[in-house]
Amino acid sequence: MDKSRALYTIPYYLWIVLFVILPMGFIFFQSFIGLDGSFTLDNYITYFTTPTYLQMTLNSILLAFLNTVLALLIGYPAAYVMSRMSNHRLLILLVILPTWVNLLLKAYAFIGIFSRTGIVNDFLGLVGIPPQQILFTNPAFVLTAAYIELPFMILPIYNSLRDISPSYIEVASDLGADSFNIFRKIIFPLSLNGVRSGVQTVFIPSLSLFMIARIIGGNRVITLGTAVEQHFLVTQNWGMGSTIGVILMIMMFILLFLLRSRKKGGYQND
Amino acid sequence: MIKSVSSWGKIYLALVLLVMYTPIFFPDDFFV
Repeated sequence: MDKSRALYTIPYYLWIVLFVILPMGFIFFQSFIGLDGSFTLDNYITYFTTPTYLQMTLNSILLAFLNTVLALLIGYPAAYVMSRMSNHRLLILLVILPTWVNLLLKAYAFIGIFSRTGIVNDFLGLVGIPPQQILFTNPAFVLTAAYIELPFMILPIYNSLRDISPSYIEVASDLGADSFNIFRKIIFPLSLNGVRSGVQTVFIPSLSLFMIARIIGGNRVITLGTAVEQHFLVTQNWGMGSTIGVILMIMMFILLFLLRSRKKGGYQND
Repeated sequence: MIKSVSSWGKIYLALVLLVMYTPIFFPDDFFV
């Protein structure tokens, strides 16, 4: 039994080594290669001593943070309402369906929505506000990215809310807690694992979104993702692009470490 | 979970779903 189980894990390990560890190793190795092909630390020195890169990093973190907060603020109440409805399976399908539509198409659709003749400006016109330049701004990028990432925030929160045993809520209710206190002291703490997973699945990809930054932000929204794209495709400085990639990976590991679940001493929800 | 959702909750969810489907079904005149 153990032998066959070990045999079944071979494809998994093979996949991880070939498509996760090896590419990461290549990126790490490439980050030490200079423009002349020599082994050097110049890329890292340039990164940490150039204000533009540091500014870009801060900008990326800020945009990813805003995008995550927005997705959380919109997604949590939606997941909460869904988890309490009788037709929740249909509703969750409705949340998942937009993720089947190609990301590029959705991003292009936002060009129409945010343009000077789009829905948003039409609405502003109704309340007497003249057409605004919304496209190619940071808010447009944050809104679009939050829209794209919203289902990935709703799903884990919804799952954690569904896992909460109704008996906890009934007991609290029997003991006289009002609905606000039930939410504050029982539902929210027990759904934190879902919030944590949602934040991870939204924040980490948001750090390196280059396609949406390019389409919605034009050249005005500069993130680490667009910098990687520029270094690989335009300036052909693969070393610098890889260095930014390594820094992105380190930032992701730090986030995963900070948001790791701390089960010890906490609630057990089964 | 207790199956009780206020009508505000349902309206909110409907709005979120409307926003989620707007770029897919009504992307303005971009594709025309």
